[in-house]
Amino acid sequence: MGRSGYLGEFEQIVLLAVARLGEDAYGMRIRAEIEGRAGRKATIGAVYATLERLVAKDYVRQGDAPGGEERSGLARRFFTVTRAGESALENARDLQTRMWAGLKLRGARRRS
Amino acid sequence: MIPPRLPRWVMSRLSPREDRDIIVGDLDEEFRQRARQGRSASAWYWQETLASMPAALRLRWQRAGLTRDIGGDCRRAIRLLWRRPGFAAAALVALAFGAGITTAVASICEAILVRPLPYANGDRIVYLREHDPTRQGPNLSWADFDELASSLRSFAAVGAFSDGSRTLSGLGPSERLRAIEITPSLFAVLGVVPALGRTFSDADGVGGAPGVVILSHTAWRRRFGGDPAAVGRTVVLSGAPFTIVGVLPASFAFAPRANPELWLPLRPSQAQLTRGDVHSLDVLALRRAEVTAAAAAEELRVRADRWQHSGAAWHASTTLQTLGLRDEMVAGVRPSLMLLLGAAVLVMLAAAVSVSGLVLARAAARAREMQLRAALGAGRWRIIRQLGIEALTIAVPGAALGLILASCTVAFFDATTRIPFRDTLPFADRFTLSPLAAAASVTSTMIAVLVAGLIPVLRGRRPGTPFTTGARATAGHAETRLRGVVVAAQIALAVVLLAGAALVGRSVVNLSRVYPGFAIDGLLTGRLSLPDTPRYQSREGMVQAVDRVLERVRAVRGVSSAEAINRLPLGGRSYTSDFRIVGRGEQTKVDALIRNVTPGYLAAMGIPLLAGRAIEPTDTGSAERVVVVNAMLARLAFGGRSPIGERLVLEFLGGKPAWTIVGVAGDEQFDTLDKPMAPVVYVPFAQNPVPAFSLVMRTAAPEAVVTPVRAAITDVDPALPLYGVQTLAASVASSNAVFLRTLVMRLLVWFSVAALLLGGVGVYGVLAEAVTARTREIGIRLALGATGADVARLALRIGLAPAALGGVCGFILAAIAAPSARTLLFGVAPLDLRSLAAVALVVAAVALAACALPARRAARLPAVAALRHE
Repeated sequence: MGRSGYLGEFEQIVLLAVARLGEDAYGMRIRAEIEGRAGRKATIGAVYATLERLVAKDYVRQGDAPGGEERSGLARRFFTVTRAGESALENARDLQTRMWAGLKLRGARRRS
Repeated sequence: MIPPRLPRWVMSRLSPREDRDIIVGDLDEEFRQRARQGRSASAWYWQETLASMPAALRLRWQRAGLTRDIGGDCRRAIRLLWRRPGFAAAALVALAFGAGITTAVASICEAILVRPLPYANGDRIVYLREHDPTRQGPNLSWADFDELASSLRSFAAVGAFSDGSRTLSGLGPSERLRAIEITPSLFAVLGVVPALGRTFSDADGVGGAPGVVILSHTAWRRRFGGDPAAVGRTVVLSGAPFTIVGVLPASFAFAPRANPELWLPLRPSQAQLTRGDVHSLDVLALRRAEVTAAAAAEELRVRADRWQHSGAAWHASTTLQTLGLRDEMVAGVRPSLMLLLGAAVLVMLAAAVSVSGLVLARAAARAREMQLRAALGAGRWRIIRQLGIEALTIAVPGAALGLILASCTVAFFDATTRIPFRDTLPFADRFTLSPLAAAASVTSTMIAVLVAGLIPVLRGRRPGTPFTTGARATAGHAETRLRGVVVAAQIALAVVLLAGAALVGRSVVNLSRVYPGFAIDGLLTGRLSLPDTPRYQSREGMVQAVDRVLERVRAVRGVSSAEAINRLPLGGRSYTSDFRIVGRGEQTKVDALIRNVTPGYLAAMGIPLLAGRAIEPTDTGSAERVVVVNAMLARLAFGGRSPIGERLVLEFLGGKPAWTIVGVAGDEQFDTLDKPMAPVVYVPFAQNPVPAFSLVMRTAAPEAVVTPVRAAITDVDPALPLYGVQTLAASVASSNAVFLRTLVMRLLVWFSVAALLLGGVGVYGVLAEAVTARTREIGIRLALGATGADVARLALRIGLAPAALGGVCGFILAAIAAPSARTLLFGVAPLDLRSLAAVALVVAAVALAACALPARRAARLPAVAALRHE
């Protein structure tokens, strides 16, 4: 896997959020999902900058839909994970699993 | 529920056009959702916008493909520098030097002239001074201080201080320490809270109260190892017990008196309490926050007016003035610092101009490349961006190197500045790189290089114009002219700096030639203070002590003579008095320095006796009171008449009895070398003994005799430490008059050599390039019969024309700037023709040297090869 197949940590988090939200994945929701699950602050600007990179890598697809009154009539952009995106996520998980297999850190405390 | 407009507008401007609606829609949606839930919505919108700004910009660049392009431009610019290491090194060195020198000098100026003083209300602390045309110092009498402190409404606190020193004994060998005596209110003026213990109470300042002392932080660390238990301990100062009641904080400094180690309560003597004409106090006051400086000045004017009409002789022409604490402290160094700052800015300009010259030269060489790019479709902005990035690849490392150089320079200055000089300046104990100065100089470096880098585009060279091939004989003319202007500017700056260095240099030479009235070489000096013990309380006790000390010191091998005086020559104008001539009604308007000397003083110093006799050993306390005056006093007070036999009543010495003038001596300088001589009255030490005095010793080997002299004095009394030991020559060299000028001169010489080198390289560059660009023309001239000498003359004209133009502009600038350096000049006019002629010679020599090589090359060009030149 070359550099193009590499997923940065935040890219991975955004991609997972898009996957989890399924058909409901758009900017604010993705941001809320990251905050709710990962407990990590993410600005809307950072989320869109990352999504732009993921689109460029062909890991997500995007499509616009008209917005309602709550969005001042402005369009909404939905994202879905592509096959390439799914395999990048799986690769990332496998890599982690392989690296962790059989490893016990001396300083780590066992969590109950 | 309408989202806040401003952040919404900001976000929509920052986001890329195609994402604008989507992002703002998301923000609007969450805003309304939060508002419905009763959570803070507007604040969130603001926060989210501010936090998203960098990412939104990044997104915009990603969309425009700019990140990739800028990266490519950077790599190209670095490759370009790598291929021309000579250009890169020259530009980097020039920039580093310019930015570094400016930042360093500006940092030092900022610390001394701008940084807030280390006191709670430093900007409202002022010196309160009396000015009187009949007196020399601006000090106040105790009675005046008392009246002002208790009655002025414009000031929240008024405090007085007076210099002093004490001998500390009981902690190792006896040692003389710098002390300051203050009224308890001075700490209120300065707003200082002690690190340990307490400050002085009003009871501490009353005569007869137990002795108390407050230690400076340095003294506490050095002498008590920073032990908190030191507070409460008793130390012996000049033979009397004092209890340590407090320790001042480490951050506290008192530059007006060079950070004394001991702080003692000021207890006025009987004479100070009762006599209005003893002016010995420095007074500081804290202006109330609600009172303007003008209102305070008005209150002082009204008070002085009342004094003048009170009938007191010593208030007949007194005015009261305030002077900012910092203004007073930096008055001596401000002109030098401003001059150096101006010079540093000129060096910075010279560096920027020199880099412009280099960049222009490169731009000329790359004209074809730029035209080719334009022809291939690169837009104007695309080329501007690339040139801008190329300029920044020089400017950023140049500025970074400059900052490194600046911090080294500041550290060097910090490590090498003389102690007596720096101790009297605010913050001189910790010179650091000033962020403000660094930011200013880095920004101006960047701007200068960017402007220089973009000149080809700014001058309207439109990309897309058809690029030329061949015809190089004429293509470079415009660039050569522009570079000529750049070189002229470099030479002009170098001339201004050189002129400054020459004028200050002549001042230093003139100062070194000033004859202070005695031979400075071979004079060793030191100070002694008799302890407050019963043995030295009486006049006889003091005279005997001085006699015994001098007798022992004279016996030391290598000391040819030793005498005592209350204040050393070249040490300042303190201890003055006005006087009345018996038989003449009114007081003279002459204020004379009172100097108590032992009989052999004038002979030991080599001061000639012009009339009458010198002070003799027979002029004892019980003999007739006599004085010797100097020629200046004789001239001012007696005109052409001989003053011998005239009798003076000296106010300073109690007003009575009269003192008979028995001799007239040559003038001796007691102030700094750059001041005019003052009238002096020499009083026999035996007739007016004082407990603190200086020794002057003539010796061929000053260093070798210090230890035996100390031993000889300790033999007389172990509680008599000799302090402040140095040769008079060393104290002259470290005096502000000489030290500051020497420092300024050295720096100006360095600055101007650098500027001149940059200018010389510029002249060389212009001519070398012109010779290359005009090779075909030279070939044609040679073919038509011109000789090598004709061609050399042509080349010299091309090279020397900008140098001459720069020289003329430089002299005009120097003439305009010179009067601002007037305070630093001594014995030389701001428009000193000899100095300016010397500068002209040096500049002409450098310009000729720079022209020599290219002109020689032009003269030796073979005609055929020149004609073929492409």
